[in-house]
Amino acid sequence: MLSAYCQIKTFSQIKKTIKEWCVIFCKINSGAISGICAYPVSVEADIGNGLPNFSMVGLLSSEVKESRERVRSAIRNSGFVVPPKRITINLSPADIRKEGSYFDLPIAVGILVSLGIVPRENVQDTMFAGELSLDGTLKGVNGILSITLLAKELGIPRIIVPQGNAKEGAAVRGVDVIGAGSLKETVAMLNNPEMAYPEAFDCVTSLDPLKNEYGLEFADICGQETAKRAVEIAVAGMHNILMIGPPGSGKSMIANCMPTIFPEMTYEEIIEITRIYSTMGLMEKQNMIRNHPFRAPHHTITAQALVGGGRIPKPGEVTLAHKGMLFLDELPEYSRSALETLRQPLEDQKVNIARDKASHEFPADFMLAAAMNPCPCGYYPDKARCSCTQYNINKYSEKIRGPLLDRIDICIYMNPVKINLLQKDGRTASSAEMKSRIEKAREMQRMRYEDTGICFNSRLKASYIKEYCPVPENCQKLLSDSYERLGLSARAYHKIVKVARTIADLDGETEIRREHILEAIAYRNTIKEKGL
Amino acid sequence: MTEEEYWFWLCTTRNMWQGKIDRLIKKFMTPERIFHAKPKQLAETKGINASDIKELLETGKQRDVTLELNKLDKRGISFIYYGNKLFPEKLYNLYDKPYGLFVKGRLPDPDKAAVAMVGARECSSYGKEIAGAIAGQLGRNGVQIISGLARGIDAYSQMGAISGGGTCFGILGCGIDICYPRENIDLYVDTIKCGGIISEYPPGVRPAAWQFPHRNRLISALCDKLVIVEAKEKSGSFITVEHALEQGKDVFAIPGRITDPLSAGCNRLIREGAQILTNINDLYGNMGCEPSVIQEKKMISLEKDFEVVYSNVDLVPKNIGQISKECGFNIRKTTEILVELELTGFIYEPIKTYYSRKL
Repeated sequence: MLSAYCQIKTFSQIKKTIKEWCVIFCKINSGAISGICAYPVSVEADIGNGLPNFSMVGLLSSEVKESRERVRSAIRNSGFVVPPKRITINLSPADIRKEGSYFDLPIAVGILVSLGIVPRENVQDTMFAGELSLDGTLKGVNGILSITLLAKELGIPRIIVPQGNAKEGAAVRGVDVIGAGSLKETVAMLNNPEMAYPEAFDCVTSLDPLKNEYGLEFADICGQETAKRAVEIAVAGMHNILMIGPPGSGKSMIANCMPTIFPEMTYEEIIEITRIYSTMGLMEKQNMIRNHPFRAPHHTITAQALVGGGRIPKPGEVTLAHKGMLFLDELPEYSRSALETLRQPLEDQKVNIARDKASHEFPADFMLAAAMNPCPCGYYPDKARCSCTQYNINKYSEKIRGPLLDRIDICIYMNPVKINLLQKDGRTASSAEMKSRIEKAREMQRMRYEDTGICFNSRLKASYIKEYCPVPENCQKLLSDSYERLGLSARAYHKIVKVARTIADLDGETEIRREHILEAIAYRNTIKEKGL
Repeated sequence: MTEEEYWFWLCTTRNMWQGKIDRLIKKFMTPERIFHAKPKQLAETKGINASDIKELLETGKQRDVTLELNKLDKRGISFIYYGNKLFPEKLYNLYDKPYGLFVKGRLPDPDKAAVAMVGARECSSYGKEIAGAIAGQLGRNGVQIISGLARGIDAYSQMGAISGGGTCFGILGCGIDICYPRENIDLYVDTIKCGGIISEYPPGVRPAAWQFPHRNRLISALCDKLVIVEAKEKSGSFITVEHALEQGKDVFAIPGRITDPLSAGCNRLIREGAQILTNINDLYGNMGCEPSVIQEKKMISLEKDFEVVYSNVDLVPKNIGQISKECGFNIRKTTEILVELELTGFIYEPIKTYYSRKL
């Protein structure tokens, strides 16, 4: 309160100004983030008579309470005067705990409206979010995309956000997103609507064409043709894949190349993924996330970090890998509890995290790529180098439990490439070629599953398989033969049909043929039946 | 007490291993006399110490041997002592013969030929396939397979014999009621059904490192011919070979590539004069047993492309990528043909995406 007094010199001046202040109540639209979704918060400001005081209520966390000091300084340093009155701010709904620094701007605007500096009608159809600096400049916050989406949902036509977040918010079509550099600029825009022009940005057309930012691509990989083919099938149908091989056989290299063959993202996918990354504060100066995520957490990761958790649940790696790929290198080294938690996301493509305050649902529609050594020393089945006993090898493969293995459709064994292959200048498929084939296969899947809500062959439930992946008469015998000869389980049967469907899609075939099934059999996951 | 009970008492006394029994028997001639011997007489025997005397005379005499034998009988374990009519003839002449055998199932038929198959525990898939194929064919022709129920070659030989409908016997290096290694439990049960499990150690004796080389002399003694499937340069299989040579048995070794460490031992045996086993019929000579079923070699003509791929598949597992390079087809075509061949039973997939010929 002291600062407000300092600006006003004499008692008569105070009396005069108080008369001029129209003491009113006002309400400002804002939003906050819970999980990855935004919920509406209305910031109510009231200036009344009484002992000079500035109080804030509404179940606030300490970062929100501290906004009182920021707002007061920011208003003063923007050239406005905070009067010695009783200022009350309420953040409603009052029973949800408010977190984050989104409320600085709406609180400041609320006070200014109550003071009559900004006409009340100018803020009615506007949402505000942003953090204030003491000098009145606006700083970017996390999760603007979610809040803009909330504005669209609530039918609020315009939102004022910090300049740094404007492009991100503008990706939402149908809401005018206005970027402001400071509180002063915000006030100017509110008072002179012609100054406020929305950010013109479209995340699909406005950005430069995508570059390969991974530095690696499949044309650089010599040999490993089997692995490359398996990976192409896996990405085309979003089948989970397991790569087994000794150290140095190129498992990680193949995995690192995999993002380069994911098809370009659609607008909806960009919004969905950016929303997650934005709320997590992982945007790293990008305006939008335009590449399919590639997450490769270290094997010391905890179960909570993998699927999400915490007192106030935060999304984990599976959610960050949404619409992309989760790569688990050295799979048996992950803790049992962490791997067990993968069951639900792999089955339902989402994660439910329940805490005493609320239950959150995070999307987790990712493709799992895992890599592991065939035995503790890494060289099995090369008996000349492997020193492990069969018992240890079995023990090693048992670290990956059956339910997880059941969700892996494709399995390959990789061998180190011979030196003469590395030197040979052979022609091998590039990422671009593989990507164009995958895009076609994805298109076929999209058309086939148009109204079912399924996007990929791997997501087909058993009940859909008969309908969408009919196996022609002449192939039925092949499948029943392999069922007997190779000891397939019923689950393996479904997996083979799904993978065969993807191979047929890659060929552009509407019907599954014998060769598709044969290839699918070759890449089936046999660890559960036969061990490593 | 009957003769059997005296023998049982002696053989199951704690720490009474074969060497000590041997010395006692040489001195006292029968276990009955040992039972009634004075402590002073026992103490004069070399290798018998005070605690052994205590075990024999004090603890030993309190035992109800009849009840113990009955209990064993109920568990399906029979005790066969030296001198019993069932005691294998082949063991009588052994200088370090066991004086009591514990048997689950039955003993090898002395009128039928028996081949012992041993080799590396950590064998390759080549060894696994060969062991299974040879044992299977011998089993079909009525030859008994004897092995040590260990991991690797031992187990695969016995499995081969069982799947070929033959008989097989496992000689253990621990108590008969202990399945070591544990993962062989299925094989342990099957072996009892299709032959028998034999041990010179009383029930309950834990596996110990020294007992395994010791039991190898029984493996070689009970067989007519010994086959070493795979062995490294330094291998426990050589102990069996030495015993077999002392006992005058034929030793066969399966040759391997000179670059394979797992075949180095076999190749050395061949250089040192062991017989080379390149054809299963080599084994039948001098055994009083001829192959009753002469296996016709499968001569099925394959399609040209299939033939090309098949000819590039080896007994040593090969990766799809390598096969495709060698036969000049692309990955897809090679994969498809390989799976077709697998389904027809010509080849198999020992490791994921690796294929190998079936014998």
